[in-house]
Amino acid sequence: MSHFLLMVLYALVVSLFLALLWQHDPRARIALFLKLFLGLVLGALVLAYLMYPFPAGPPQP
Amino acid sequence: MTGGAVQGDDLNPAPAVVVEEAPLPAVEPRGKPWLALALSWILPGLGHAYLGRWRRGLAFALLVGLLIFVGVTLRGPLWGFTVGVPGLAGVSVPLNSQVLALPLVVVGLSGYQGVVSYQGYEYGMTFLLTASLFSLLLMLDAWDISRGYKP
Repeated sequence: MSHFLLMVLYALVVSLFLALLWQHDPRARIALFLKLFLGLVLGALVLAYLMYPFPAGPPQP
Repeated sequence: MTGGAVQGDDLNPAPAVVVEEAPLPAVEPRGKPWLALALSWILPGLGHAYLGRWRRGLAFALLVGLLIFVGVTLRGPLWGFTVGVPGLAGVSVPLNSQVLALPLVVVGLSGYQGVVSYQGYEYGMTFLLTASLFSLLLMLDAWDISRGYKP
């Protein structure tokens, strides 16, 4: 399973769980789910993009 | 006098405004809080089912179960002694051992062990740690519902 797929699966489960736990109104629940899911996935992509210029490890000999 | 703020002057100062806290919405307490908490510990979502929240309990059980399934598939650490283990593993394994009662027994009876050298080990650890934290949240939520703090 790819890194990205695992990340999306994780974001999906976490968002669903917290939306179910914290909200009782269906509309508010959907809104919270979307906020959390998009925040987790897009936030990770932005972070990854910002980290892109940094080297991945020690320089090759 | 109806409406408007009460204004005073030097001789007759305005009365002090007393702000009363809004009362919490009345929710009927249900069940026994300790039993709800214990059932949530035994199986995530079971405490909610005991309190009559069957659908939510089932959804929570499925979500935590999915986290455990993926974590175990990726060979993350479920239990064991982790003295001196750095990083998340030092937190996740003791937490899993204390929070995930029935899943831990079921998976443990199958002889499952995490594999540090497996490529998905750290992902699995993250999924399992999240399952433990969610289980803890469910225990607290069941307690709150039972006491009438939450609908």
